[in-house]
Amino acid sequence: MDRIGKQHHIRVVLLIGALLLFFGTGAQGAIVGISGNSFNLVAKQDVIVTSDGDSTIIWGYAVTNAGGETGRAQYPGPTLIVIEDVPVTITLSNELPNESGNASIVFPGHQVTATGGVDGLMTQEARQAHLKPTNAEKQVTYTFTPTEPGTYLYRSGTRADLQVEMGLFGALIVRPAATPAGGDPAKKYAYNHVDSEYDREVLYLMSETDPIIHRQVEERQWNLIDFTKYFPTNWFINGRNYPDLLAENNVPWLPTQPYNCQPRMHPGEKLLIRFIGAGRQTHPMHFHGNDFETIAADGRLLSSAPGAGPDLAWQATTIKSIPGQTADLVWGWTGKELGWDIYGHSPEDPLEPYEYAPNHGKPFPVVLPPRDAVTYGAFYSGSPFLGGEGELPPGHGGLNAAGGYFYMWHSHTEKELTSNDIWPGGLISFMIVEHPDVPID
Amino acid sequence: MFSKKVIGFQGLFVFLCLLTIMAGQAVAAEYWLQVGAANKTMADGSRVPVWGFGLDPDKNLTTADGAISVPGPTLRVAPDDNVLIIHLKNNLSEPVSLNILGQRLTNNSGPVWTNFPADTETWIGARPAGNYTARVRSFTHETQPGQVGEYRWESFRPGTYLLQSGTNPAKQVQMGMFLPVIKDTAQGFAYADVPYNFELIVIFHEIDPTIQNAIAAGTYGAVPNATIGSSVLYEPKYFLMNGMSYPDKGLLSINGTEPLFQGERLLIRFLNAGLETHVPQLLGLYMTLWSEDGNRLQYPRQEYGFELATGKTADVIVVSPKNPPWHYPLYDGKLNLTNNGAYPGGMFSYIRSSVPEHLGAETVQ
Amino acid sequence: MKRRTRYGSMIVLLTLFVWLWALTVSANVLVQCPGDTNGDGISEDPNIVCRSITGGDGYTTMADGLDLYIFGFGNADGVPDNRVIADMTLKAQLPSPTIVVKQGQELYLTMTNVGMVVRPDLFDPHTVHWHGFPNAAPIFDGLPEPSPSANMGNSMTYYYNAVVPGTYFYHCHVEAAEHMQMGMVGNLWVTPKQDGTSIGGFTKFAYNDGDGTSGYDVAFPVLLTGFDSFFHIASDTVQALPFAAMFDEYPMINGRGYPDTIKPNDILNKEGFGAQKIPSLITATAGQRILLRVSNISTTHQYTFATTLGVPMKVVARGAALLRGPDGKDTSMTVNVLNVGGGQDYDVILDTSGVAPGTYFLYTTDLANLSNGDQERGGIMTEIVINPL
Repeated sequence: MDRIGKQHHIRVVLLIGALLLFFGTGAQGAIVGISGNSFNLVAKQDVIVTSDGDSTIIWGYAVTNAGGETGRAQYPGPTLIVIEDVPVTITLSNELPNESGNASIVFPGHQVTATGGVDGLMTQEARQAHLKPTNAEKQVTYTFTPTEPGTYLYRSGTRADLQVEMGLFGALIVRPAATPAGGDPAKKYAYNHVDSEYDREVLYLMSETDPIIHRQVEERQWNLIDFTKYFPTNWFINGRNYPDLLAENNVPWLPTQPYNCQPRMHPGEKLLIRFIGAGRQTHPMHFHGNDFETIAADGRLLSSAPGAGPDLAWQATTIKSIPGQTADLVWGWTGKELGWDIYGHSPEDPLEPYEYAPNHGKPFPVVLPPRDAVTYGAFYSGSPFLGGEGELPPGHGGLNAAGGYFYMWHSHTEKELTSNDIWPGGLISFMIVEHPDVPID
Repeated sequence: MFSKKVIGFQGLFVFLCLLTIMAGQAVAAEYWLQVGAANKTMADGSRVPVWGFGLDPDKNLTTADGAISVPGPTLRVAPDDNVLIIHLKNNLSEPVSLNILGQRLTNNSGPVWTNFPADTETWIGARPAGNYTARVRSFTHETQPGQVGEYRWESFRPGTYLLQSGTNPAKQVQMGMFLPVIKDTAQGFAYADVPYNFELIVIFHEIDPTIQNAIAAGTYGAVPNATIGSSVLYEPKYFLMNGMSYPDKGLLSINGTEPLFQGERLLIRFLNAGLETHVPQLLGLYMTLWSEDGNRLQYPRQEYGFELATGKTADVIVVSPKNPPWHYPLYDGKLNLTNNGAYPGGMFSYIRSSVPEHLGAETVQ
Repeated sequence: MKRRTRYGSMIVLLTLFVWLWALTVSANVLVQCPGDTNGDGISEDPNIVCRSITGGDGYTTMADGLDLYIFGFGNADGVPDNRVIADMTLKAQLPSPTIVVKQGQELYLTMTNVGMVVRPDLFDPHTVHWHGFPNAAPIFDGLPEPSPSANMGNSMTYYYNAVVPGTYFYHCHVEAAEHMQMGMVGNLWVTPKQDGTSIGGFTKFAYNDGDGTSGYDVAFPVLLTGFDSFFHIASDTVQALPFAAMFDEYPMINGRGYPDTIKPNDILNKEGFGAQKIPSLITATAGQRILLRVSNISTTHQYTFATTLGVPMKVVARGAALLRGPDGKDTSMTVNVLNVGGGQDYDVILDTSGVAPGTYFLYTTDLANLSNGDQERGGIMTEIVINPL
């Protein structure tokens, strides 16, 4: 086997442009959202696109900006990024179609004061427009002070079975107020402990839709809606199915689905996965490539005692997203102990960062089948080595120009890897571990 | 019915003294239960046939005693009781048995296998040699229709447990044959270092009226005139907490009208007696999870919700954040909030701390 | 049942001919086994384990008598390269052959795609995904998207340096929703270096615990999965595959529903081949510790299970990792009831001390899944026989 890895430097630089065109870029290491302590949201109806080529009505939280303009509803709602101990104020108005119901937001894990609106089952609700609400009833103001950093969610508290199904939910991220004791101010921490350090973060917000419910809402057949027959056939990560979630954030052809899911990293880095069950089903997400460590659940470190950090962390490659609950996972990869040199090095080549030295220069252990004996996947570079590339058959898209290692992060309830009966779709995503020389911003 | 107020810490000392005097006496908790058919009214007024347990305080097990309920009555084993004995009268027309996941039935003379589907032959205690087609009917020894059977669990371990029928559980447990059995480690202590002031029991389960009607009519299972052969396509229409769906009045606030003052500890015993997983979720407060299936966790966990699988029990402590009045929603995070398709309904309630009427609101800080 | 016209028969024959020709033209069957000097597929190097499996199709019989078409891996250990395709078509097993390796060994796993004989119109590649393998590289990860996957009539040899002991499983990852539903799933575990040493009265352990907490006397796999019979029948009869409607109504342990779970012999399929080779009867002597290697590979359901032993289950590991915190704190779980989601695996110890000899049951508390389709008193249930000392 050729030591293709050695030649990767030049080719990587030349082909980076092609790569960036296909895969989502923007901030690869951070989560897209709105930072601040004051947000104005509006519950509205709009349309999203699913990867089987269909479109469906949804209800989502739209953002009113400082200039007073309200955008379109988005699915999921905006990721709100706030700071520990800083009071948060969120106002909510209701522009849902008549008879859709009141609108509200609940914030599991937080002590919330709600003023305005009308009394609802779980919290104060913004009254429906056609009921001619007073000014006080039209809008609710929710205030709370997040006392612990972490990953949380918000969702509707009004007729929650229907409104959460329709899309009224979003992520809430609380960043620590200060660097934890013994920490480095230049580093990032998810919680107030040095053992919650990470280099990059990604959101995995899980949801699903039953097209029958959405069609009944669109036709306003309220009395036909029956959740005892609930049977989703579309599943979403951050509001998109595969392969739409590979595209960039805020891509113009998905105007109501702004968030992608395209994590990329280098060997040795730590990726924080903010894992949220925003819908009503449990999804066991399986992470190819390596174990993750679960360090927190419901915004609380898995800790034996206050201040002990995540000393009860557990590792696995599969974790269930529980409806309404959250978890924080830390994932990393080095390729250690594979028994062969993942770069295809000669022994005299220098070590890459985090390379497992005992495997340095060890030869590839098997004879790979000839090209006509196999099917090359779309993300196969043509080489088994990290950063490598090889001859590809004609017609192959060449979608892995930088020779990254692709790992599918997907639901292990495999029927969820479809979009409305179409394979592939649904809960498929890919982590790309790139060669250390490949720039990821 | 499903709540009890426990004596405050001051009274505990007196009790502990009494207990040391009584130490060394192995006592038994003994109950007389009947199991029979009844009808249950759902929150929307429809009636569904059920099979459930009833407690017979007269202990003579005539058919007139022991009102049937689903869930069945709570049985308690005192902290110093080592043995639970149940005398069970079977008022159904098919055999029944009892099973508690996690406790050993000491006088078990079952299991019982039958030739399937005819059920004309039975084998007790062991599978007949070389017979690989017989199927188990009961995990433990059976009590035949009209008979009284005795079930005895010795070395009964503390915790929250679910007692269920051990006979064709997909059919009999589904029909409602379940009840909670609770044993504290000491008065006011769920486990050695888990004290509480107030207790709630919250049992989740669901009802598929089509299947339950077929079971009651005898047209369910491997029978010649079956309309439904198995429960594999179970599709529940009702979702219940303690046998009630929102807006059943008993469910609106499932702790009754007791006050819980700031710092006091509310113990919630969750049990899943249904056929589907549920997610007990609390809005506005965190729970500390102390045990699963009656086994005290080595390290308690702080969560505002968690997965409660079928047959599982979990004990949590919620610390009262302030003096009464307060209330916080407690519901199923999977949002089973419907009664046969209509909203609102299903698994929604509040835990509530109410001001005692005789005190009046102004005396509470 | 499809009725074939005369033209229909000719078309089938023609397709078969072309398919067989295609097989031989690009045939590249190569079982790679370093250290195998005499061609028996076994390496003379004690540190190397060679296995040969085949990806193809076959049939199974459900506990209510229903015959279902499957895809699966067959066992081709020791079969010479030039006999693999001829001998191994229609030999799919459910579950696929169990793979066991010792920590520190290297596994050379050759998978040969022998094609789907019942569906000659299908040209699917197959792969092997070792679920949970740490620090995996895509070339051997079995994901078809970022790697080469073996076409019909060809082999791919996967290489694994088994450094982390534990309970895993493997499955095909090509069009995963389809191939896994169709049955390409198998048990896989790595025994720890600690095996053979004596700690706490045990010489067999699930992990290198250092203190015997994962020690056991007898071990049994509990691979939970399910079949959607409509999906399998559609595949068998060349109909469109119902992905959106997929719903497993034949839940199984190790490829069988109760009472087939306690049958000691192979379950023969309608071709007379024993496709379902793994019984699930659990037996132990009173006082012994039983290790259950639990996994769930259903494409539609999570399953919860319990035992009627009356003693708790001790979950000592999950995801092939001992339940110990980063600084060694014991995070093992003691439960009576365990929910296993798709893709999850657990190591469960049952300590039968104090359990009276007799028969007990391991069964799903998701009671609806005590079914073989529309037949009751079946599904996920097996028996635990505790024998007297």
